[in-house]
Amino acid sequence: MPTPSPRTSGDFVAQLTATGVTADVAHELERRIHLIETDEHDDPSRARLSTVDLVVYLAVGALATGLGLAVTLL
Amino acid sequence: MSATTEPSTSDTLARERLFGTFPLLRSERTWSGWDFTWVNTALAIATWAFLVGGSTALLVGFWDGIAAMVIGNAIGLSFMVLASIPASQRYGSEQYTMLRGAFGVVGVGILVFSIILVTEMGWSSLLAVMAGRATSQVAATITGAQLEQYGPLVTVGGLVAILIAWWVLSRGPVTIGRFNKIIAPGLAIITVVMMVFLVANTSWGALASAPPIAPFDDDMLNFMVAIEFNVGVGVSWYPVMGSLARMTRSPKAAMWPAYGGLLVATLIAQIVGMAAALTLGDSDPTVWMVPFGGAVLGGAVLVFIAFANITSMSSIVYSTILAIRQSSGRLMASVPWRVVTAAFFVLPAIMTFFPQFMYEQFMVFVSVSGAFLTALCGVAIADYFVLRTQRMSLRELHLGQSGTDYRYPGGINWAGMLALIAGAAFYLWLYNPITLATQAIFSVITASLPAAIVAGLVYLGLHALLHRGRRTTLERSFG
Repeated sequence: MPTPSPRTSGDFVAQLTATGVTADVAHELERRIHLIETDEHDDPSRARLSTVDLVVYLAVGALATGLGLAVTLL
Repeated sequence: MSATTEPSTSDTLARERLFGTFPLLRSERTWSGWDFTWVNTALAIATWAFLVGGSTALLVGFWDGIAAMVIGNAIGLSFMVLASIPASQRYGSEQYTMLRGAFGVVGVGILVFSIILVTEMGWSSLLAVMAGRATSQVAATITGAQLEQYGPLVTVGGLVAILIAWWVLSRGPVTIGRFNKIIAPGLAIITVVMMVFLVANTSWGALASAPPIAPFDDDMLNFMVAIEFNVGVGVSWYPVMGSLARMTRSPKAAMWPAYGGLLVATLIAQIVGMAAALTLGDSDPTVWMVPFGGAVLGGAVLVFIAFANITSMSSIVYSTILAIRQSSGRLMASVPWRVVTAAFFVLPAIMTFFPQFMYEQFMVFVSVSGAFLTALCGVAIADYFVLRTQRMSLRELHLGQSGTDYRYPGGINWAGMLALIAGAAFYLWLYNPITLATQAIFSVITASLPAAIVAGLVYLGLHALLHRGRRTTLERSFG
């Protein structure tokens, strides 16, 4: 049976150390993930790409491809 | 175990930091958009860019070559960046950990030990042979002797290059960084000098009308194969980009410098390489450097190229070893760094005994590895953007088989693995780089982009079929 998803940081460290990860590495991982989900949760560096971001990105890619196609017409 | 042999806590944490185990925090993500642009520019203006430009000149002339390079790199980079950067940048984690949802823990290990390892070993072999060829050309220039194009000196030079690369690598990332600080600007200067030589020694009309060096009979096939080759080059950045992007401060500082920096810098170096190859009738920069720049300047540039190839080898092998270390779990945790790096170089060292094979099969190698990398990118994009809606659980990713969200029977997500195989098979059906057999539609849609789309769609379909009811979208963004 799969182990339930860890609900607390204690669960996570215990599950991780049970797989052979050393306690200090497990605690450091937990410390970092906790900071990311609390202090840095709304930080711009952790933002998802918006639909606009993705559309603009794909449009630029299409434009660059179009430029290449235009060169063939020269 | 005695206190002297047991690693201390700080040693263990430092080692895991070196291997990229921990997600990076805001204070550790220091690269601005400009910083990352320079990193990408330094990567792109490498000696292989000259070789890619020269190889493109085998098939097409100047204008068609520029078009093929722009189209190929624009397409290849666009989905390579989407597949590797957003997830690693958002979570600050190296990219192979982020793939656990799509392929499973064991599945990622299989990919790293097959596609990624073979791809990077192939590039390392090529760089070693190129360094050997540069060594042989310098020796011929100094002694005036007629040396064989693929003679024993090429092998000796290649083996010495590998030995030095291993030494640099064994000193760690700081030494690699120090060497790259010299090499990257040096290659930029060489590119500019070559451009000046080109303008001074070649008429525009002669360059524009220069025929391709060794084309096939079908003009359309030449153009499409040139595009596909350049798509393969664009996608070949996949194994290293995500792990670099996690150092950036924002999504914009990661995406645009990666796409724009690689595209512009690659195109400049490739166009110079192609123009020089068309002018002098040989695709290999180590052949045309001396006739192009003269004995002294050409020889000096060749020495620099050999040196640059050594640092390029060290850089890509370093990233690959990190991927191997991350995906092998505890299996390789106790193997010393020097042993792992030495083991990596065994196959490239063997390949230096077959330098002609490596050079002649360069385009085939790039295209075949591109077939698998594009399919991998298709699955990664479908997983992160469609299935997970850009939300993943860092705890579950690190738990892997011990958790629930990314746990699969035997550690393999067969939806991802079968989709990857389907995408690569579709690519090879549309265009087989070995036999050059193509489907009629290849001339319209190429092979890479459709292969990535097929891989993504097959993944979503199979995932729905095989993992019905499994949680894929998290309520929270992290955790």
